[in-house]
Amino acid sequence: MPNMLSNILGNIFARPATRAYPAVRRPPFSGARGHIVFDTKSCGFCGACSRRCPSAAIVINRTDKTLTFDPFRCIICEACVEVCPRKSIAVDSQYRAPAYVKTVEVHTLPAPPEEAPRAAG
Amino acid sequence: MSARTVIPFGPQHPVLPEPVQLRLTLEEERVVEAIPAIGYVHRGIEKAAELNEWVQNVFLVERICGICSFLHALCYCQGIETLLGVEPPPRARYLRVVWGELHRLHSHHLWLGLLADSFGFESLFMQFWRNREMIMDLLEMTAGNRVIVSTCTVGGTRRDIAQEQASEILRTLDKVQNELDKLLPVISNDYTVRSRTVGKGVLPKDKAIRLGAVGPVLRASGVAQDVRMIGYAAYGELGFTPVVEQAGDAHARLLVRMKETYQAIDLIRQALAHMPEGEIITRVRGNPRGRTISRVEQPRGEVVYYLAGNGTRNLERLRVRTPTFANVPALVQMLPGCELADVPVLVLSIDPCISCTER
Ligand code: SF4
Ligand code: SF4
Repeated sequence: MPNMLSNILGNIFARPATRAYPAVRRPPFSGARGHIVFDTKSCGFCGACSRRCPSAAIVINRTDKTLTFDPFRCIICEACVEVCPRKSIAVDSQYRAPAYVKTVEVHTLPAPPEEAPRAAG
Repeated sequence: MSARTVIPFGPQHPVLPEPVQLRLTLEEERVVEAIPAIGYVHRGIEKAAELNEWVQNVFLVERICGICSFLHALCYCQGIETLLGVEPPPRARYLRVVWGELHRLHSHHLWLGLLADSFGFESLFMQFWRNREMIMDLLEMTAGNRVIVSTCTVGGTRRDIAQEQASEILRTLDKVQNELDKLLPVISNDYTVRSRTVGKGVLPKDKAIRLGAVGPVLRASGVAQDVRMIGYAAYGELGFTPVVEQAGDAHARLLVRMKETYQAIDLIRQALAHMPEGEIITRVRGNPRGRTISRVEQPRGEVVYYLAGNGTRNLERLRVRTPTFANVPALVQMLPGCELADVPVLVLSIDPCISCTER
């Protein structure tokens, strides 16, 4: 015990080593892998990301031009980010909050603005 | 002969966070026989590795173990690189040493804390775990994640360590070493630590070799055997000599791991100092064909990967022999003769990682 005594006495008066989470949060490091964000405007629906994804979190439907992403399967490995030829996938350093219900994200091509007048005419 | 009692030790046990059961036959307080039973957390990873493509398997094998994830990926990648005839660039080999040793450092901290916890030395446990957080932060800073770093890939590494990150690593390691300096006398001389570990679970040298023990368990019995001696990654260029202790008891295993934390710090400093500039990844073409064995020294000992490729995107077979599996026979031989109260300490002294072992 004598070896640890100074340590123990010091700890009585020292500030806690932990943070008062969630009131106090440490910002993530800049390169941290928090979650994946898609930019479907530039996506070509080629399916490269879906073929590389090790956890089958991305499903591409080429005819409907939809990209279905299951964030609860995603392990944030960045493999899709590396293979995407159009750089449509990025990593955000903030991790997602936990959730009670598992949901999937469906991304589609944003409707082109001139589509409505053409339909009318 | 006095009456015998059989006590099921685990799979849930307050001091043993590993899902293994030991059926202990006791005579009064003394253990006469220990029979291990495993199979609680089998996840079918080897089969999944045949279904995934070999590029994707890097992420799968990392998840065999949360504590030494990088070293699993390293072992797998080295095997695939052998099959493909690819040589990773020199900078990548040094980066692999840095991340590999950071993993060893945090793994040993975790274990040192758990051992202290197993004999009720809570303040020591907290000191080690507080120290460990600094290393976890280094991993998050350099790799983007605390535990599953995913930086190793076939042909090199996926991330680089920039100059300012390297300086931050060196600064943090100084702090870690400072803290370790305060804990080393506790580990080596403290009455509580010594009375619970010295002379417990002695594994003589010849027995350790015969039972096929690996890693710190083997080195604590006086055998200078460490896979890093074959010089994979950049270890060949860093002048590596294994840490060896002679006593073969739980205290010797404790000292081996404590000294290896210092050694890991030293290896990271050396690797950062000698790291050459240049590429971090070579382009990889084709699919693996043939069979190979790949070996890496993990914090718990030697891990062996057997890979069989048939020229397609899927491997024919992936087999993993984890260090804990090799150390279980030694553990079963250590236990008879000890007191029931010493069982947790002895089980922990081999640093069991059952989730790894069962995959
Ligand atoms: S790889 Fe990129 S471009 Fe191709 S489908 Fe995925 S996100 Fe779209
Ligand atoms: S980060 Fe990895 S797991 Fe997540 S979607 Fe991309 S490839 Fe799949």
